[in-house]
Amino acid sequence: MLSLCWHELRARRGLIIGWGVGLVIFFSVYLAFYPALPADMRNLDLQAIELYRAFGNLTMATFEGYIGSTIFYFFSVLLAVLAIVTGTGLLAGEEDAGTLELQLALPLARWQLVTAKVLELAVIGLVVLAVAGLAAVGVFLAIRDQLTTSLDAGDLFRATIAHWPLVWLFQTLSLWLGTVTPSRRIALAIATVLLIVSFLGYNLVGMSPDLEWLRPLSPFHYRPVTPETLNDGPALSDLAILTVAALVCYGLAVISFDRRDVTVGAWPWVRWAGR
Amino acid sequence: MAIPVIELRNLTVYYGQRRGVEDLNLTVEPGEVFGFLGPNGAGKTTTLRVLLDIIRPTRGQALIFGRDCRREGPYIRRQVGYLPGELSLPANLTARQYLAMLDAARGRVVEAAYLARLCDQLDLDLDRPMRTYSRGNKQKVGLIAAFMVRPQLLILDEPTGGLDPLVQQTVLELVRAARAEGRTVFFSSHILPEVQAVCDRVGIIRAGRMVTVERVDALLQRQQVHRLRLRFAQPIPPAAFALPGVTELAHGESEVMLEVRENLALVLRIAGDLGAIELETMPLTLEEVFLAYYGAQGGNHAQPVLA
Repeated sequence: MLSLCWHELRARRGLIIGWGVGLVIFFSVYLAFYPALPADMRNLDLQAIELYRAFGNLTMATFEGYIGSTIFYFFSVLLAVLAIVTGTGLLAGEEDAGTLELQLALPLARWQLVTAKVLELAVIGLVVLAVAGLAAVGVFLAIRDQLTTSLDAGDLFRATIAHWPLVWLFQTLSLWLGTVTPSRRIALAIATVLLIVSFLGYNLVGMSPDLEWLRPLSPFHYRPVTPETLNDGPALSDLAILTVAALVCYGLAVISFDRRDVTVGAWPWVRWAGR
Repeated sequence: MAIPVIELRNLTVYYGQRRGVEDLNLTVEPGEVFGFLGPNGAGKTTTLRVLLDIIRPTRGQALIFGRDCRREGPYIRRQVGYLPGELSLPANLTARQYLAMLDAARGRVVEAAYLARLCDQLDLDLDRPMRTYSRGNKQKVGLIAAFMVRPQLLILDEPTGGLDPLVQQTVLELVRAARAEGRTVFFSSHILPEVQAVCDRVGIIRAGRMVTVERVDALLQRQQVHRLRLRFAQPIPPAAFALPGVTELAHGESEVMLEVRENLALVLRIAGDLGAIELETMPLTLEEVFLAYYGAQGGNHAQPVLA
């Protein structure tokens, strides 16, 4: 099982390198941009503008605020997209492509195959985040002298890596959807809708105190992006909640893949109708 | 009595309301080469996928080595080599990397010398990315993946698809070699001459149901049809063999070709009376038997390949 996981990671090195390079560019551009921001723009009260409030607690007044509300804000969306692409690419994508059939002919139980894929996803997420984190550290050290911040390079790297449970949750969620839906295309569509709803919904309900209680339902609620978590490290309870949610999705993927008629491309109830 | 290598017990698969296969019963004995015949959509691939536990039965049971394919799949598949009918391979790997991955997942059981021999026999360069391979070369990778672990059971879905005639013969040689080593081969095909060339028994499936399971030679003999070519010393009258159950396939001045279903003795007597100087019996091929099964049923079935 682990050897299958390892070989598949090697086969997907192009995807990992591509996303890694993309996130390196992202961090380089956004971090390097901060010292060049005009002072009046930094002091702009973005929360006074209704449209900006709909997109979260944007602020550029401090470096911590800029990192947390701007860079990691878009970063988390990019990561969720990466997670959905990779999560639906395994099992569902392989079933669509026809490459899953020979894997199922191996002497592995279905749960082992799902586990290999989940581990593979975890490693993909971790490697991409590590590359992005190192890029962030590199740029940070280059502009450090121009910044007024209590953050150090380690804080930045830790905050980047702390996004891993969020990535893994979206990956396992997408993997599970791929084991339920007839095709990768449908899994991709549903996962994308869930991403949009959970992300925009999280920001929109924040505008109304009456709906504030809905925020913990979104995975984005648990991102380690406040100035406190950037300085002091992420809240372990937040990371634990995301990790447990990812493990639940993994469990659901095991259950539904174990019941799946692979290569048939049907919804579960169509398959049950024949039973 | 040896445990059958494959046993299907009232195997039924439905995709919702759509029929896959229905009430299939079959046993395949150790060391046998079994041909599974049927046109496209008859249920061959569905049956093979149930054996690999890729698809689950709606009713009934599929067993390999006496074990349930559903419950003991990993144990069974350790001893099974499989070639899917619709083979897709990861484009960005070389064949060597891909085969190494499959081997690693099986616990590194492939002998390097045997792998090299297979590559040599099938004339395949393993070190090119598989995206550069022709369909035939991809098929060769699939065949090597199935054979390389020397499994006790080979399940091959259309093994010679996309291969040139020379390589097709090599594949049949590999099948014969597997049988010589006491291994069992279960393969589906609609290329009937190759089935006739290597199979001990065949099962014919039509619209999801097993029509017949027979030894190839018995199946051919059981057909009560004789095809005769008769030559005579002098011209013969046009309607000399106009008898019930006798069809004239061709008629020359002093030669006639007949398909005889009844009145064989009478045909031979008339031939003697007319001064026959040569009698040639022409055996039916498996494809003619196969077509007879389907021809009797009609319907919109794909024609088998008359290679």
